[in-house]
Amino acid sequence: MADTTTGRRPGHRDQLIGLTIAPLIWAAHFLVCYVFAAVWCAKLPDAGLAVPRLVVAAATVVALGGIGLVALRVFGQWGFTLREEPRHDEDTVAARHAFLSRATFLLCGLSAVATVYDAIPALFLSTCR
Amino acid sequence: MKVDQEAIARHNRQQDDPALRKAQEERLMKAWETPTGWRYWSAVNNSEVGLWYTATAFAFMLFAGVLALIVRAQLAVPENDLVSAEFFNQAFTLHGTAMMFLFAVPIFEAVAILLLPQMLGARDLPFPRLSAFGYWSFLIGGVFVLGSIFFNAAPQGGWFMYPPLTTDTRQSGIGADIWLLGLSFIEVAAIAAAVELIVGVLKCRPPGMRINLTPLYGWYVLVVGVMILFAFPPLIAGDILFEFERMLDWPFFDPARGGDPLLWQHLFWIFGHPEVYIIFLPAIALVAMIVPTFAQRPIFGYSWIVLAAIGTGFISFGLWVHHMFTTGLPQISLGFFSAASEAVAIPTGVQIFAFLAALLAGRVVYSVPMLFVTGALAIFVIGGLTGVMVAIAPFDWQAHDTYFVVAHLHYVLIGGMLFPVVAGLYYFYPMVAGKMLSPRLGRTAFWMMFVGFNVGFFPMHFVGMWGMPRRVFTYPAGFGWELPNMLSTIGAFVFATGFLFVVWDTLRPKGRQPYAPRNVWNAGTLEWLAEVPDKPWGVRSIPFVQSRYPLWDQKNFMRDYDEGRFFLPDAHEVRRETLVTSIIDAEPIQCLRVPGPTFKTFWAAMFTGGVFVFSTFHMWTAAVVSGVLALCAILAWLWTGTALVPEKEEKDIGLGMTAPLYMSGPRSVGWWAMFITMLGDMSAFFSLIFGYFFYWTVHPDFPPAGAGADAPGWFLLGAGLLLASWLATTTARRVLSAGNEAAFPMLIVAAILAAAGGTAALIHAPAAAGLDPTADVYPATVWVLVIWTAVHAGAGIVMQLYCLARFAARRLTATYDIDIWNVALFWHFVAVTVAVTTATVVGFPHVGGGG
Repeated sequence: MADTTTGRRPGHRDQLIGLTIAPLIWAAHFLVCYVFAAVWCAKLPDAGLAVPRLVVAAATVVALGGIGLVALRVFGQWGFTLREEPRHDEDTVAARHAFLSRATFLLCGLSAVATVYDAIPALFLSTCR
Repeated sequence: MKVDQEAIARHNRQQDDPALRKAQEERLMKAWETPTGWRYWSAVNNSEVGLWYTATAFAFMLFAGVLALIVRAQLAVPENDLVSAEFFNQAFTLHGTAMMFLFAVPIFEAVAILLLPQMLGARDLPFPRLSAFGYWSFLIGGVFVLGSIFFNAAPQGGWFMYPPLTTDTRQSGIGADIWLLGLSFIEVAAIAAAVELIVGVLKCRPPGMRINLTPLYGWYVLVVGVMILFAFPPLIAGDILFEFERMLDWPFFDPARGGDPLLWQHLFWIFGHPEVYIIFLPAIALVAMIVPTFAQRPIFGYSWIVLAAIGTGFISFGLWVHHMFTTGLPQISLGFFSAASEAVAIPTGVQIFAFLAALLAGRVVYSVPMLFVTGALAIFVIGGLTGVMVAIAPFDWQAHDTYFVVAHLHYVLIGGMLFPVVAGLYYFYPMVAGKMLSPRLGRTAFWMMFVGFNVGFFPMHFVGMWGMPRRVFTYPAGFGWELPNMLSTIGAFVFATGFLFVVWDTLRPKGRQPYAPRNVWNAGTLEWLAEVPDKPWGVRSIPFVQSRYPLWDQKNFMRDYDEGRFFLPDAHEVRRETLVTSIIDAEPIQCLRVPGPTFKTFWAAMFTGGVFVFSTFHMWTAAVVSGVLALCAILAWLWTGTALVPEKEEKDIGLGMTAPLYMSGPRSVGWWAMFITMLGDMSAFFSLIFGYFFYWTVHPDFPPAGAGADAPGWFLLGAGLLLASWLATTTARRVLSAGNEAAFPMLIVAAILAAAGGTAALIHAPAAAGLDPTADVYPATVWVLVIWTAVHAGAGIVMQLYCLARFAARRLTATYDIDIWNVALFWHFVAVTVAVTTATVVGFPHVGGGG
């Protein structure tokens, strides 16, 4: 969904799809954990969860790393302070860019929390029962 | 957006002339005139279709409400014999089904079709006839499903239709078929609305309304539209498997032949849980429009609410198994879904806090809409908290299938949907109907509904904890269930009486009542530009927006709008036109001609409905005839109403700007509609593929030894020819765009021949391999994937033939090439379908085969 009409100013490459990267990483992490553990338990019900727990741990590190990269990227471009709500209700490219960056950053936060939540069951369970 | 000040000044000088303005208004009135007499029903404009849609959804809701009262009357006292067990089963099944499929989801589509164009300052949505088609489909499907109860033929297996109870044709009767086919048809309508609304939000915002200025309602509609695309198709896939089992005895859910009823539960809830948020988000979107008006200040934390809408949209797809905590899945699986179910409370809470903050920061006027908003928040918070409780698996094991869950889901849906919708009714009624609703009746209604609801549903938490199961038609005395049940019944009737006040207030004659003032609540958003009484043209001129609340912030905004000092103040050619703008910054890119009244969409919906209705009763000839007529109606609609060649390249849209009248490929709205539709199609297809791999996980011998080695030649031949057809189609598109009009028809003919041969080979392949779909779930799964692929190839052939005919008629040329762009796009998706089907059916047994 590229916007080709804007010139090469800051934010000229903004795309709506950018908002979805962090939640998509969450979704991928969720699916990897669930599908791997479900197939593992269906095929090897007595093998214990050692391998799935490793997979969950690895997936969580990768996912959090990915979300962190997205967050750093928008944080760097945006240069906001957390205390002050920046002006993003104006009809300018800068305001639009600030809004998209801020929303992306917030979604990174939510996705990171949800990813950590999803990893918690692997901390506690050790069998397929 | 760059605007030329001199051009604006010129435009303003021109609009200073009252005679010119009057002539413009006359032309606009003529272009947008609502048909009269019986032709009224041929209208396709969003204001008519949206109104019918809303009224119909409310009518279905009242019907389902009466069923609920029958249920409550039966349960008022122990050992009651007011209705039979069978009727009771039909009543609660139809109550749930109608409330979810015929009210909660359609009211979103209805209200969005009615309000979204106004909020975006657009004259109409980009595909008005598609909205009309969706509405007629909804009406036919709804009447069919609800009417069944008068013939003692209603579904009675609960609103989620669990097999094996419902796949047993002796126990479930025709009701299950009515449910499956009637609702599949309505799901098609929902997807049609989603396509329309997504393109509407992305491409039909007024110039200047950058993505950061979009009203929150637009964000929610976008998120919910996308959710529908990924949530409804899995249910359609499930419906297909279900109907194949019921009609043809293919054993998808029959454990004796390798099937598994749990697959239905997965597919149903992959739909069913996101559906809760599909219902909740658009209603809370109404709250997001109402709260700033009554706080008389901008919403608090706009980007936080956008975060919440998008975040909820995603996470809601990771919750479905929490409806299946008691099915014996491994605890680790339950753990993942329990965690995601807790996580979704975060974005949901963010929205509630943002609204509370706006209310605390502003000086709130407590009129009727605000009362309903406050009641909604209170009720929904209770439902949300019990939701956090049942999301914890061990608690759910206790509460599952008891009245606790009934209480929880009603707190969520009535607080999260019904109260906000009634708030929206009181808020937007003056804009739509020009008259105010009565504050006195509204207050009475609110208090009766609020008190009645809590008296009715709060005791259910307790009676559920005390062990009363859902869906029992009566219960014995002596368990302490008598008092809470009697209270619930009394509360339900008080609640219903309160709602009758709303109905009366809405319908009572208001002939002598004066018109409401324009923008009666002093709101800041574009929909309140509507004149009283409203004009059919949607907007007098398409505003140039520079703020989130232009009516508050932009000087002389309403005057400039009224005097046509913005875009498209005229309809020179007396055609219906609106602006298409870019996705991120809303710069004008096209002046889109939208079609006017027609009965073609009505007939298309009638005949499509006929296919579903006749199939229910196994009247195959009638179903086939109806299908052919539906195809004819749709083709006639497309031929006469889409991809019209304009009389000139571009036109003046005002303020010194011009915009083209015709665009094809990724710059056109039609291409986006095809792309979005096919995303939904892909999610249905991948649900079928999910089914294949689901069986693989649960059975050691799925696929059986030696599968995939039989007749791979036919499979590969079919796939090869279909991929060749895809290549020929996309090449045809390229050579036509390059101006080579001689090679185009030859390539299309080659593509048609390859597709026809490929489809035949593919259909022959499982037969040649000796796969009997009734014998076991493996052959049935292979057959269903092949049929799905072949049906898509068949649709692709019809499209190729259509392009050939359009080319012959000079409606498709090197310059005007919308049709072939969209068909080529469809074939990209066919190619993916063919490749994945072949890889699964022929390739996978070699790596994952049993035996």
